[in-house]
Amino acid sequence: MPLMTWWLFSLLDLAMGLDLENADPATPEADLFWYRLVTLVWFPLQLVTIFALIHFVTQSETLSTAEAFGLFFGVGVISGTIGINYSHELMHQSNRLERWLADLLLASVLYSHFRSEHLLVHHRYVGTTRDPVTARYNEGFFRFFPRVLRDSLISAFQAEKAMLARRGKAWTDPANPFWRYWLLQGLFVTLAFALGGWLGVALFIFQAAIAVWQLELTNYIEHYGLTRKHLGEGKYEHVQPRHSWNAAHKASNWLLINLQRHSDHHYKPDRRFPLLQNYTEDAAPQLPFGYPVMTMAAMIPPLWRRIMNPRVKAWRKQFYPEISDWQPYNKGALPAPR
Amino acid sequence: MIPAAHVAKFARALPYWMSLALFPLIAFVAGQGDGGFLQCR
Repeated sequence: MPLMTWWLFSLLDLAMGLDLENADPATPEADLFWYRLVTLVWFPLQLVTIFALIHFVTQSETLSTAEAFGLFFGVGVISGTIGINYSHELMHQSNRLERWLADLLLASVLYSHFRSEHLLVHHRYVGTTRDPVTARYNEGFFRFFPRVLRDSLISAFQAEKAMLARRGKAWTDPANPFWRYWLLQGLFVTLAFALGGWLGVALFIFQAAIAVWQLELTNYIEHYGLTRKHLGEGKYEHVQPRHSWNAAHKASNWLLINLQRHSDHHYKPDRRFPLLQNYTEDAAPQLPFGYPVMTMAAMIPPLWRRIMNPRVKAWRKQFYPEISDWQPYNKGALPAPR
Repeated sequence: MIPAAHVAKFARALPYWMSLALFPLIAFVAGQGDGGFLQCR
């Protein structure tokens, strides 16, 4: 399964090249039906796959424990690479069905708070010290990952708590989406137990861990070393296309429903994936390969730094020639945005 | 009869549906070898 999503799509990217075409952003919603449908049907398919496999694997008398976990490694790659990515598309939409599907998908990988973190923290504070998932220059993935696991949960909870406080409500109020997160996650863990006992729970948690690892690898790549200019006293410039890494590789953009057109996603977060636009190198930094190759490189920090650090330095010269001291940006020592 | 325009719209969206191929693939993987669940009784 990892071979499928990583190697095969790396090869397909190599063979198929780039897709630099842009759809008309004013395309009516009705024309996007077949594009939207794939994100809508994904949750039931993923749910059945996870729990049917838990049931069959734990009933099997011949399947070894190692084989079972190997299989659920593949399930985690699917529920992370595709499931969380589709939940990301769905959570940005305004209708209730899509938002619910996003919550259900995230609960199936025990990472429900990603919705709060992404919408309330990441989009608002990307490229600043207040966004946990903006990887700092020279920060290796293995340092980034535990930091993000801890900080994004805290920042997501604090963001929801602050929003409730502005409406005069305590964090314990039923309007806090964390209640929904905990309930849905608890239901899925209970279902895993009912179908497969403790081994079922272990397999469920294992695929969730693999999925979260996939997500955070992607988060690591998307903004590595890219920072918004500090204007003084906790004020930062607005988010611009230059603050995201992009890849126009055709095959991986099919798989990832154009997530790699990341600058435009930050410009118009609710723009549906078929309408996301490409930017030229003059406006937005481009990765040398698609995300599948880059995630593999991110797992080897010396290789990652060798590929990316010169690109970050070139990006700094291109967009911020006036900044001479990058140390406060590298160290995350600038004041948090207000 | 399905209008041609509808078919054309579907055809344009089709590459994004390739991720669905992962489901039969994982079922195939699960069914491999003597320990595969497709053989279990």
